Amino acid sequence: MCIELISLGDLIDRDKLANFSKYFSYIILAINVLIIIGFLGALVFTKNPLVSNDVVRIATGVSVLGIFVFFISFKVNKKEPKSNFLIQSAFVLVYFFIILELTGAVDSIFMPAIYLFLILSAFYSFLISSVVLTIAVSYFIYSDMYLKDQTIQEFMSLNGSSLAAIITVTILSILLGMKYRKNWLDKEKLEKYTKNISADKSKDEAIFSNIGDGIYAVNEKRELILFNPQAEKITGWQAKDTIGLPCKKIMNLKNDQSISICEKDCPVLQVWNTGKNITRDDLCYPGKGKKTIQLEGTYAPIKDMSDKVTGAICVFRDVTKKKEVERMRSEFVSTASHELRTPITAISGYIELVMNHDVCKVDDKASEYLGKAFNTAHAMSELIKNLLVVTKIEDGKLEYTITNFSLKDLTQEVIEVFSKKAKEKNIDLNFNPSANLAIKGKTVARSLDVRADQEQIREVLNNLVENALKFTDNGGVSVSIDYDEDFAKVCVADTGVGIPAEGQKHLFEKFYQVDNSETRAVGGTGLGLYITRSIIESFGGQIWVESTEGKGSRFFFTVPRALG
Amino acid sequence: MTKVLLVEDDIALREIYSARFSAENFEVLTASDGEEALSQAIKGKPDLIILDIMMPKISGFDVLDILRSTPETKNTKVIIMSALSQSSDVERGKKLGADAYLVKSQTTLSDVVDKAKEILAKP
Repeated sequence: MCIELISLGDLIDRDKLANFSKYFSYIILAINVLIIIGFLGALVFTKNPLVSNDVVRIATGVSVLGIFVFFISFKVNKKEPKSNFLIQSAFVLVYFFIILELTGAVDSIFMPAIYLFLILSAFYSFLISSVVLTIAVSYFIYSDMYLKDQTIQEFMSLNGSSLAAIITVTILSILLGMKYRKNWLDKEKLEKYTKNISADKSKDEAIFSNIGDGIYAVNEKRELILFNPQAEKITGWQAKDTIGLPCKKIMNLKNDQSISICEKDCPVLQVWNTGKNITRDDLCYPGKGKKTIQLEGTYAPIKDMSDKVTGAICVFRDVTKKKEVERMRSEFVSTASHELRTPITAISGYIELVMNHDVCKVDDKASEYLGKAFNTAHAMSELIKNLLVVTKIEDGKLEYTITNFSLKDLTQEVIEVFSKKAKEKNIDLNFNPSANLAIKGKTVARSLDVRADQEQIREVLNNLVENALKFTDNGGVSVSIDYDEDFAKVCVADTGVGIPAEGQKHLFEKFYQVDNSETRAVGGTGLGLYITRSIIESFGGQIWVESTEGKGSRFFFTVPRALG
Repeated sequence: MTKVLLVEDDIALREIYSARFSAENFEVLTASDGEEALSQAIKGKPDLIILDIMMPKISGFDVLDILRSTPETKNTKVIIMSALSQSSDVERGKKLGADAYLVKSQTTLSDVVDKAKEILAKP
């Protein structure tokens, strides 16, 4: 039903209608002006009895009204083109009936034009055509029956056929109009839909063409369906030569060991299997006659509405330069560190020689200063070692050998190494391997081994125990291990200087050192705890500190337990 | 008297190790590159060789490889003393037959002497 109430004015594009009704308004305005001029002219220059006719006076009145209405409706034309159009149409209708009245009413030669109005209005809308029909029929009744004082029978016998024709034409027009408007509506909808689709398409195309990364997409047969300009630039292929070809023919990527990934290690198959995105930075593209390009690519599955995988898309970029810079940086750090090692070894060596009573004789004061120089040289070598480790951590190149091992035995070894140092400082260093075997009230028969890189964990323990000894002058350092279902938790507790709350927050950050006289006195690189944290986190553990300034600190870290 | 061969291209380190090992009553031979090291090892018949890796002419790894495949030096104790600290280097050294692997600047002079005595004490 709703289709009957929709008028053509609703369907036509608003801008088009506004444009049309603007010119329509101008024409009606011109007619209005002409009528007034014509009437005034006739009044002055002719003695035609028509001029004194009431109808002509009414027409003049209507024209004046029309001019007023023009100025009002013209203003709203932009916003309400439909209303303006209908108002102007109403004036046309009024003039039509005035002409009819002047030319003999029902017997006028303009009478057939009423069919034109009925047909046009029926095509415009059901409502308007009903109004026009009502006006037409009322006019008939008024001019023929009322003015001429006819009975209904007389009126019907004279005008019955005309009325029947009018009503028939109107009904037919209404039916045709409904169908026409429906077709129009469908066409408009289709046009709008296509417009949206092409807008979406050109938006996607604009993104694909202008994005700085290469993009290619494959269908479910792993044939290329998309190859953007940046991909052309990186690979040297033209999109038109690649579309439809098997992906491995064009993007025959290799991993960093120069082994083709297309057969056994295809990321597209992997994203289809897992349904998750994959990012790889070890890709190499052999290049079309050029040297190998290193790529970093992210793969994602393409799914249809029913979540069925229909293809995959890869966004990739050339990282050859980035990798080269990374390689040069780590090579530089590594070479510089190695080159620095030899002179530092020489410095410490000479100092050690001087301090050796079998080699040289020095007095106590000189010996004390040499001791300090020796410690400084040692700190410097530690810094170099840590810088190397940090470079490796940041390049993700720290190598791990994961095994199951006894944390208790490892801790015991570390404690033994440091016991001499503790004795020198007159500090208690003890290890309490009181393994908490009863978990949730049940004794667990499981092995207490942990799973990580033993040497790295040794490094962690070295760092924490060395720090504890460094910052403790009275009391002691104690190490203990606790176990829960998944983790072994190590605690390194000391009765040292402690760490202020603000310092605890940043303690595990790179190059951070708590700034106070104590830390300045003992020195350090500010890298130890950063490295420690990186190692622990790489095994899925956690590290944290509890400390009270002046009373001591407790460092905790967790290592995952071995299964079984 | 126990004889030790110091293979080290850095003159300062050579001097330091020589002085220290002499003080410990070792007889000290020195070599400043791989070639010299090989000829000294065969001529001088040292009980222990302290071997640097990064050296001119023949690298320490290659020297060790040759030493282990030469009948006269097959059983000579070797301690590698290098600036290379990566685990892959340590592994390579051990695989080639080094008795110990020490990283320069991470070991003190006393550590080297202690290690040398420890290795020599082994059968």
